[in-house]
Amino acid sequence: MTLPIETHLLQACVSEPVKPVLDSVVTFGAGHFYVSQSDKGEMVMGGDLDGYNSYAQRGNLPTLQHVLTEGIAMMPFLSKLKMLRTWGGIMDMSMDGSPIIDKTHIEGLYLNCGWCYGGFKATPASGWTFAHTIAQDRVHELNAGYSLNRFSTGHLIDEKGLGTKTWIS
Amino acid sequence: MLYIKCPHCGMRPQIEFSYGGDASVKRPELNKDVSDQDWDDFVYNRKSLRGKHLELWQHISGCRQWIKVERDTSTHEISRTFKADEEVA
Amino acid sequence: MSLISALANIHTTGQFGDHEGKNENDLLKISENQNLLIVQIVQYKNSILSFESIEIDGLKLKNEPLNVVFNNDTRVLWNGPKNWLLVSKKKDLLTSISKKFIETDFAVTDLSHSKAIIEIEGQEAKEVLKKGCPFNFNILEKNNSINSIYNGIALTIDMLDDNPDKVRLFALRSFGESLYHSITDASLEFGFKSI
Repeated sequence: MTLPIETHLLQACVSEPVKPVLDSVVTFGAGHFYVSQSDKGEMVMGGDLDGYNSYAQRGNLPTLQHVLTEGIAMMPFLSKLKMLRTWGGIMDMSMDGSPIIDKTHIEGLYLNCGWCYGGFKATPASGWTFAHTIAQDRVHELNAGYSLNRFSTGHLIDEKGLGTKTWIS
Repeated sequence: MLYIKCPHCGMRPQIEFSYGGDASVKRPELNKDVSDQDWDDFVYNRKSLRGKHLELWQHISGCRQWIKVERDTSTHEISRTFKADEEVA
Repeated sequence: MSLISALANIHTTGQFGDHEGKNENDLLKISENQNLLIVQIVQYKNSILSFESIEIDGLKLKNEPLNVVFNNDTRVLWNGPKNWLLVSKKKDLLTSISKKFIETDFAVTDLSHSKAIIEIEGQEAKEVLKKGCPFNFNILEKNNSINSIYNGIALTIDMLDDNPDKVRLFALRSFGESLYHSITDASLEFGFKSI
């Protein structure tokens, strides 16, 4: 089965611990950057995909530099911080940036994938609708839009999802 | 940083390039009937291979040409590069 | 007609950075170049005309990476396959270029007013470039040129001389001040003379 999904690489990084400066998550809307401060005082930051298909679980520096440039544009004090560590993970990027929660043409096979960068906050709702889909063998109205065939039928979801081609938007 | 050997210019840093996705995808032929499935496969469905992956890059800040790159998606190792119209054996 | 400087608002003459106690003649020199004719010449993909048979200011185009064909006034930089950038002190060349490169086969575009040009001369010229551009400058020889990126700014680099190193940088005019800032910032470490 070929899915409208590509595997991409996303990096994040964390700075040395500093005294409390930020009590919430802040994102940089004009680009792709987020920052928050952990309980230990480290600044946790991330942003763009590296941009090419990858399973490597490690990234390259140009993207990290680009992401942190956005951060420093927003909060200049970040430039004084030393980086503690960086890491990369692989993301199931759907073509429209929205997930797929659906049955498939194979009996007994259900899909809950394409969560791209995020998904943690949506976990309860996605779990609940996915359970409904499996238990009743039909989609719930809440996940009806997140169908696998929305790409071929053209019923794409009207939300600002960023899929695999993030450099276009 | 990846270094990509542009078949026109030679070895160049990755930041001069822009990524263009899977190069094995072929557009359905012009002026012929296209089934929804074929169009879907062309626009959205991807094999997303782990291992050797033939992909398009554009040397956008260099010679501006589109090229094909054979790269391993699990190690990022680039084995071969081709001009856009070169057939890959 | 002389061109309006792209860097007039920020280019000030003097010595900057770590220049004290150094011989003025050994210092890195940074200058703006104006009044050059800059023309892009592109041969269409479907054209079968031989570009080698056309001579401009005594020069013939060469479709070869890094290559620059040149004489005292004019330099033709390879930009990409069948794509060249002609730079000349002779402003009146444009008429003959348009005539020789016929419009059925070539696109000729006058870019003289749309570029900012910075020249760097001195031993550390390549070191300055290395700070913002990951190209391997050790392989860039005299009369080579490349297109690349410096701190995110797309630019063309033309290596004019290697004793001492002298490079000419072309960026889009609107990026000129940003590039100038980047270049001078990277040069502070060596100390430089702005002329």
